[in-house]
Amino acid sequence: MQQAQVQIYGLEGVIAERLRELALAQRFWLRETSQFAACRNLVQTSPPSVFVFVLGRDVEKELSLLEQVHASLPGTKVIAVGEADNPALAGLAWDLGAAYVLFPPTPRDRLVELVLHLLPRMSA
Amino acid sequence: MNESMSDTFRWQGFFQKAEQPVLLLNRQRRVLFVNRAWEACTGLTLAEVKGRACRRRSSTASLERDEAILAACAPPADALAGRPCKVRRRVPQSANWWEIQFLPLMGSAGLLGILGSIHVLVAPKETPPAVPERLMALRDRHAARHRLDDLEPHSPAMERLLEQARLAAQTRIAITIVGEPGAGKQWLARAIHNLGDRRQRNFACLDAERIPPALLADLLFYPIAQRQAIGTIYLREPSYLPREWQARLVEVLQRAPGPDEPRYIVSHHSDPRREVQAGRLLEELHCAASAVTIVVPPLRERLADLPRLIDVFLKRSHELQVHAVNGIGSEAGNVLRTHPWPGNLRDLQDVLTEACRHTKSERIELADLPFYLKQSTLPAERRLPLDTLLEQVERRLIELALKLTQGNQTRAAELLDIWRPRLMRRMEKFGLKGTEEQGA
Repeated sequence: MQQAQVQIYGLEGVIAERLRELALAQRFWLRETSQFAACRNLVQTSPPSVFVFVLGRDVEKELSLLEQVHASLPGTKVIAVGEADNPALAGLAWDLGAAYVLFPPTPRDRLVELVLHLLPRMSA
Repeated sequence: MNESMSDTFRWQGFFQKAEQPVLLLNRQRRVLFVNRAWEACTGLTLAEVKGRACRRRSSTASLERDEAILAACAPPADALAGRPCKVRRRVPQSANWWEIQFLPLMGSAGLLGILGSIHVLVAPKETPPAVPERLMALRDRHAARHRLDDLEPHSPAMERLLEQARLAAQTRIAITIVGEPGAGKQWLARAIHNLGDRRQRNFACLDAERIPPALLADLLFYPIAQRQAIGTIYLREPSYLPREWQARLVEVLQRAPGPDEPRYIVSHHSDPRREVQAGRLLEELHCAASAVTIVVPPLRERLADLPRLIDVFLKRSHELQVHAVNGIGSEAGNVLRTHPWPGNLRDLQDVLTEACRHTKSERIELADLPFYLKQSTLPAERRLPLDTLLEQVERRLIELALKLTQGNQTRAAELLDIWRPRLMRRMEKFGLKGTEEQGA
């Protein structure tokens, strides 16, 4: 069975570190990108099982990628993470096909648990 | 009589009576006519806008109000190409939106003009207009991928599905969608949402099987759903919810939905009654959500849809790929047609996306398909020999008639509305015997 892949875009700090630890413990492949073009390229060439991206650098491009991933890659679960409380943007991310939208006031540290649940079940 | 009526028919007066704002453009997108409802809606008169062009602008912020309104009424490329379409535009200097339906009027030499009718969408009070128009265009593009009109009912099951989905879209009651994994349940839920009166609000898909229960609660019981203007919550596999939450959801579903509360659509990939029997799903929850239950047939039972689906998935795949693929080779097409598709549409889309990634040509050939598909041992096509099938039906009917008449051939012939000698000939052919002969 192919190893599960998690791709993160724009995520830094403690949460990213905890995801790295989780990747080691749970043996999934974690790919990190901070450039949008590289992120898009990776999604195209090797679709991840879970795609976590932080909304905010270029919202239009990011949401457009979310929309395309939802339409073209049904096996990829997308988690949209927001920096600030923005109900309209969060609602739009839901609408465009995010599997979960993690915006304040929901604490961001729930992300690790969420990624773990969204990973495909590995057969023994 | 009809001709004289059509000669005197005053179409302008007809449109003036309409409560819906209507505008008529010529093929150069210039205004020919607007009705009174349009004038009331925009604050502009026919005299002010007649002959002026409705063209999209990259930014309407710096435009005068009348120019901005005409830009908002501009037909999209689809309408100019002769295809009816619907777009959503921000009303200039307002928090509201217009949903404009464009109907191209075609003549023998091409486009004659375009009729547009406007439906005003009043923005929900709790959602400030924080989403720019270019992002709403993205939302419209996504909504256009989920339209019931794109489904072609090739079978009674699909006809029933379409009827039920249209009915469901007219209500706000909770509904249930049942279908195998990957059969298109989420697609259908989105299409129902897009057809309903809550389409200006958002659609959220929650997978109770894969999302931690604590994270589901905020949305399911809607303090956050209300803020994020969620109009429909599509809940997959509610049997995975803790039982106390299922009970809480029952309470929510049994209340009359308020104007700001989301509508619920639940889905199951197996028969929900079995989930109830197994104790995983509360019967009350199943009852509360199943006033309308729509069964989505698996792909293998609607293979007539396959060419359309292949076309859709190839186009979608192209959006994420640099390499454009235009079609499928005949051998590859045969393989796709004969595969049973246990993973349904999701499986088909995965296969096509992967094949598009691998192929070097503009068509997907047999070599681009995964090995397991090429090894498929199913017969090329299910045969439907008409004569054999008709004979089977005839034999069953004769047997039934003889059974109903206790083998009396005369009465059986009357029942079948045929002459007795004919019945005897057919009985002889099928090796059937009635009681008269048996008794004799």
